[in-house]
Amino acid sequence: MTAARDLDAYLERRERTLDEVRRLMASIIDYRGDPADIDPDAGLFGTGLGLDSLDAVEVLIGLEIDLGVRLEGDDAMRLGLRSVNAVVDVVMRARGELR
Amino acid sequence: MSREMLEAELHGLRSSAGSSRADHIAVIRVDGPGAFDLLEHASTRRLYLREGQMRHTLLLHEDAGIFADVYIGSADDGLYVLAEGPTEAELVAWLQELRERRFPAARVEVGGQAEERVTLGVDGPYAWEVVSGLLGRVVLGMPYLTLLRRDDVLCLRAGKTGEYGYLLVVPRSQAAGLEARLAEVGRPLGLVTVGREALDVCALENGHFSMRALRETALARPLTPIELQQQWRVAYDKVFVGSEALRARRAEGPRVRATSFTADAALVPGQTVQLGGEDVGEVLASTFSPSLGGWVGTALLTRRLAHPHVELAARSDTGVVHLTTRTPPLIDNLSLHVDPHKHSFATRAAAGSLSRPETTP
Repeated sequence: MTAARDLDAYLERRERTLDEVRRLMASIIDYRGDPADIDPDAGLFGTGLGLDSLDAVEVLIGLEIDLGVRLEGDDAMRLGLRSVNAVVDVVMRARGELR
Repeated sequence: MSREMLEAELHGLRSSAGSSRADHIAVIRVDGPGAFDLLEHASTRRLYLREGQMRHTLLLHEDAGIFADVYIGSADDGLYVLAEGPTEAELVAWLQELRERRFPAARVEVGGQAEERVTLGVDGPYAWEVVSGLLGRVVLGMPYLTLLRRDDVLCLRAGKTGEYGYLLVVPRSQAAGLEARLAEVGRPLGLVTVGREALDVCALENGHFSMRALRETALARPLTPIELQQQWRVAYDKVFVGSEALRARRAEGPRVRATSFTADAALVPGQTVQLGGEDVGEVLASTFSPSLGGWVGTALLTRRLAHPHVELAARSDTGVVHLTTRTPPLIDNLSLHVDPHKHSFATRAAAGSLSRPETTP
């Protein structure tokens, strides 16, 4: 999807959004380390960050309040919350930064 | 194995369940008053184990390269280690050497299980139905990363296919009988026998780390949890084998990162990945994915480009292969739609029929 001429801009937006999502996840799981250590492809539930169903509600609230993105529908929630990068995709799409 | 056979195995695993001999997993038992301290020092993450619980963690070399991808579980008043990477003999020797070096006075027994036990795997959206048919409905209540004993069978809820997964550690003398029973229980549930190749395809489709994808690479030697996106299994505030080297690598900042991709043709490990003619990484692992109808894999890419949705290229003997980095999992696993308390294989139409390519939410 990324044309060569706007690759730099895409990567900059991606890094910025990844930082936002990492900070959100770090606050939800009470992560004591540096949020930059959260792997972009880390899963949110089970393997990975180990979130549970209560955390999922916090993610949805955090996405809406902190990042201005509302996830609606079972598919959106099931697929959009599978990993840190999946959340980044959702946020960037909602902002029109990713097709 | 022919592509047709592989596709049949994958279709069975992704739509029902696949059983396998998990010979690639070394199983050892660690006993004695010093067992926990030994494994806590070996593990990259804190164990905090109660009876019946497991942790998915790593064992590192002193240079922070990954030695083993392990589950450590507490059962039968002892600790079990199920490891991918080293052989059983290598794992036993590694732990004994660590005990002698760090805990010379500790009383610890490290024993391989291969002479007496066999490990079987059952993975798939209806794996729970197969295993509960074998061991009873108690299996349905097993949370992820737990283990329980049923008679002589140690059952662990774990897997790397993106579907429901179970490992069964059974006495070698009972293995043939249990496999026959498994086949009998699984026949009406569509159970197929799968090999390691099918399991590896599933792992790549779901973006799971695989020890078999590790290889020597000039881009980062050794490959550590940082490059391989396995830091979720690392507690930086504890001391473990390799922790000093890992912290040093972290302080340098990662230069490269493993990233999933899809490609329009075959790629092989070690193949150089380019952007605009400039080398930006190399392929770690790649395979054909029948579920996606194309090639999938993992590449080690320079940190700046190690994000999804970037179009890259690789030169092959037959021309240029186009690849696009992706957000794993690449599969919308059927297991996400199947609830053991609501569905069954017999009523599977309600949940869908097959894991399918990930779609944009």
